Amino acid sequence: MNDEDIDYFPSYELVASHPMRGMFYEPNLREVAALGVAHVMNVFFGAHGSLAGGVTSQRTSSQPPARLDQGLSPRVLDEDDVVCDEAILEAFGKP
Amino acid sequence: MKFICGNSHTIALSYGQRRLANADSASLKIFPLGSGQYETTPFSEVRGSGVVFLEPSYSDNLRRFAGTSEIRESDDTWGFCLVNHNVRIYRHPMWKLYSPCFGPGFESKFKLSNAAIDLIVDADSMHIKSFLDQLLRLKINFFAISAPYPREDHPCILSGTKREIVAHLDEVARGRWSKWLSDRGILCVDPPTETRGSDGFLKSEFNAPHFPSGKIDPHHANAEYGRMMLQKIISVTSGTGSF
Repeated sequence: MNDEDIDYFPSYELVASHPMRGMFYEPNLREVAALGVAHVMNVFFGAHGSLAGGVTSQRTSSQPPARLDQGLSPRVLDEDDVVCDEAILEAFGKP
Repeated sequence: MKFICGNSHTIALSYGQRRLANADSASLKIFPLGSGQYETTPFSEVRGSGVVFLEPSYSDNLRRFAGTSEIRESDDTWGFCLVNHNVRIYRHPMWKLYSPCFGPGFESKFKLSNAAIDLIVDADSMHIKSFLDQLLRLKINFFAISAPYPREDHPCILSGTKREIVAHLDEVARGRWSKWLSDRGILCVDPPTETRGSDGFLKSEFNAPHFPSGKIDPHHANAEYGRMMLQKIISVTSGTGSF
């Protein structure tokens, strides 16, 4: 492709490629499960920013940030966030 | 007043301030707004003649440490440490399957175009850019402070993401941030070059120490990095009259 405004998004590969081990299919191995759709859309919006741009409501401290990949969040994300919070508490204490 | 605040990378600056211990640094108030996890959602907006934080922890800490609920045009100078927090990009497990189109070490991966990577990078920073644009609009006296270079002992690398990909993504993100900031005339203080290893990672002697509990901190820089960075911040900004 020579047109820089056109890009290929690998939704098929995200679901069907062999490293996924069929985990995004329904038990009948024909239909894509909701988890698979969420996985594809998460990668898409992560690449194009539409999810974050669509979140405008004010949150309270008890609510986590809105994320399409909730439930799919890789462990390392949570660990990094915990490290940041712990480091801030360690340096500055609680309010 | 002179304030420096931002995400958890302000911690090293705060520790560095204690080491620097001179008149220039003593006049600075350094504090965290909160975790960088909230930077990927809209966390600020303009209300009247001030910028307020929508994220409660940021708002609470602004009030706690700066004694204000908004940032408005005044004699105050603000340094915001929010730029180049690129760990959110390169730690994503997708980089164990995907890679940039070109470059050494990128073989046998699903290829992503440079345009796609630019979009991923820009999506991560869009709400920080909105915040900085709000500050510009209200003529707040501020500058940007960059996060340290990536840690080569980050769990994403230890669990299989190629270090070449991490270095590439960080470099792309820094380049895009640099252009965005310079296009708007926003001063940005980048990490001291002495802290950067030849392959783009933070030199290990600047790694944050373990927590007192023994838990590893694989993400932040240490007090010596903070001292050097703070010295650079004072030097660069004093040359412009910002500080």
